[in-house]
Amino acid sequence: MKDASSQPVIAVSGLHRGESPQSGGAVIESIRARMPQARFIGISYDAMETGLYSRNGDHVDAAYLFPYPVAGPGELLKRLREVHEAEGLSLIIPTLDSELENLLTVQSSLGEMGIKVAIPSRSSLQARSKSVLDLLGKRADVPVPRTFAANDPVTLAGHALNIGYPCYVKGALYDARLVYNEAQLYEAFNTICAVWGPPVLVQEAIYGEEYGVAGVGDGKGRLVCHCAIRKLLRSKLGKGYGGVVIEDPVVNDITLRLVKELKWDGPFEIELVKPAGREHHLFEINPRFPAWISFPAKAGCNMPAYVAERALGLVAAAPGKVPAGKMFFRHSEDMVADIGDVARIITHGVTEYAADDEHPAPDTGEQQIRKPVTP
Amino acid sequence: MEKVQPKSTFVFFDERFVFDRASGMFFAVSKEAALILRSAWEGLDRDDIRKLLMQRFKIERGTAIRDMEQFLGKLKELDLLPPTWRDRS
Repeated sequence: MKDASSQPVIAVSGLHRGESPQSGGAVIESIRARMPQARFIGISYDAMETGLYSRNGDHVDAAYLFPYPVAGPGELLKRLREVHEAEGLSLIIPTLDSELENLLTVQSSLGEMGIKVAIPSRSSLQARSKSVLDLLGKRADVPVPRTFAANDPVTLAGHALNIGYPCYVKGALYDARLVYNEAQLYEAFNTICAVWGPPVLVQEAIYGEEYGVAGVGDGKGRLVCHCAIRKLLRSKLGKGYGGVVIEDPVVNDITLRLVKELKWDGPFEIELVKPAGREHHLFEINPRFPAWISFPAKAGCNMPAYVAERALGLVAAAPGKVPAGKMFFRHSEDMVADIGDVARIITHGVTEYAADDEHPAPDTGEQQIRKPVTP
Repeated sequence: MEKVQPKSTFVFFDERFVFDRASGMFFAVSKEAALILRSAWEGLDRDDIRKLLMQRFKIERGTAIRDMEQFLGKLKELDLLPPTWRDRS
C-alpha cells in the first residue's frame, strides 16, 4: 500500500463536465496543482462521463464504474473494497449530493480500512436539506423562499395554490422546474418523482441577481475560507457559465451565520438570490464544492487542496482570498477519445490513464496569480 | 458630531466603466455620469457637483442641473446612491 502522505490516492466522483457540469474534474485539477504526486481515482457511474476521457490537468489516473447510489451502502462498500485492494485509497472526496447518505453509513468501515472521507456530519447534512431549509433560515436569520414538501401531486398542488404561481417544483436532491399552472405542476411532479422519488417540493419563485458562495467549514462553526461570486452567463439549465468575485459584507455575514449554525465540516456551496430592493434570500446549500471551484483555486484560493491536505493530516494553511473583480468564463472544448476507451470501461469497469507522445502529461504546476489591473 | 461618509464600493475604469465590488454589478457610463456618481460618494452636495460639471465639461448651468438631476434620479431608482442621499428629493 502506498504511503498516504507521500503519494496519496484520492478518489473523486462527479466527472462529467458537459452541459450540466459536476465538480469532480475541477476538484482533481485543483488538488493536482498543489499535490502533483497524488494519484486520482475516478468514481464513475456512466461511461459517458466526459472526465473519463480528459487528458488535461483534470484527468483521472484510473477510473472505476460504480453501482448507482440507489443500490445502497452495501453495494458501495463492496465496490470500494475492490477498488481499495487495487489502488490503496487514502481519501474519498464525493461531489454528488446523492452519494452522501451511503458514504455516511459506511464511513466507519472505510475508516477501519484507513480511508478518509471528506463529508459533513449527518446532522449538518439533514439540517440544510431543501425540505427543512426554512427552519435553518429562521435559526440563522436568513430569509428563505416559502417551501413545502409532498409525496403526492394533489397535496403539492394545494401548497402551490398557497404560494401562488409561478413556482418551482424541485426534487429533494436534484432538478428544479418553473411551473405556471397546475397542469405543469402535475407533469413536473411525475417527471421528478419518476427519476428521483418522493418527496417533491414546491418553492416560491424569487427573481433577482444570483450569488454563489463556495467555502469550507471547520466543523466547529468557523468558516475557514470562502469565495463569493455573482453569477453571470447562466445556461438554460440555470448553471453559471461565468461569474465575478464580490466582496459584500452582507453576503459574508450570511455565510458566517449559516456555517456557524450548521457547524459545517468541509466543502459547501451556498446559493443566494437578491430581488431588487429586497434582502438576499437563501435558495439552497449544496453539500459539496460547486463546478466552478477550480476558478478560485487558480486565483489563489485553492479550497480542494486545503480539504485534501487537512483530511490527510498534512500541514494545511488556510487558502488566501480572491480579490473582488476576478472573473471566470467557462469555455467548452472538444476532447478526442476512441470507442476502444468506452469499450474498456464498459466491459472491464475500469480505465487507466496513460500519457503518450500525442498526449503528454499536462503541466500541473499551480498557476501564478495575475496581478490585479489597476483602475 | 461629524458625519462619516460611507465608503464607496465602486471601482472606476477609465472613467467610463464602473464595477460595484459588493453587488458584482458593472455598467458603462458617460464621463459626466461617472463624475456625478463618484462625487456623490465622496460626499459632495448638489451645488458642488453642478460646479464641477460646469468646470470640467464647459457646459452651462442649466444643462449641468438638468443632466445631474436626471442621472441622480436614475441612480436613486437603482439604489446606487450613498445612504445620505437616499432620502433627498
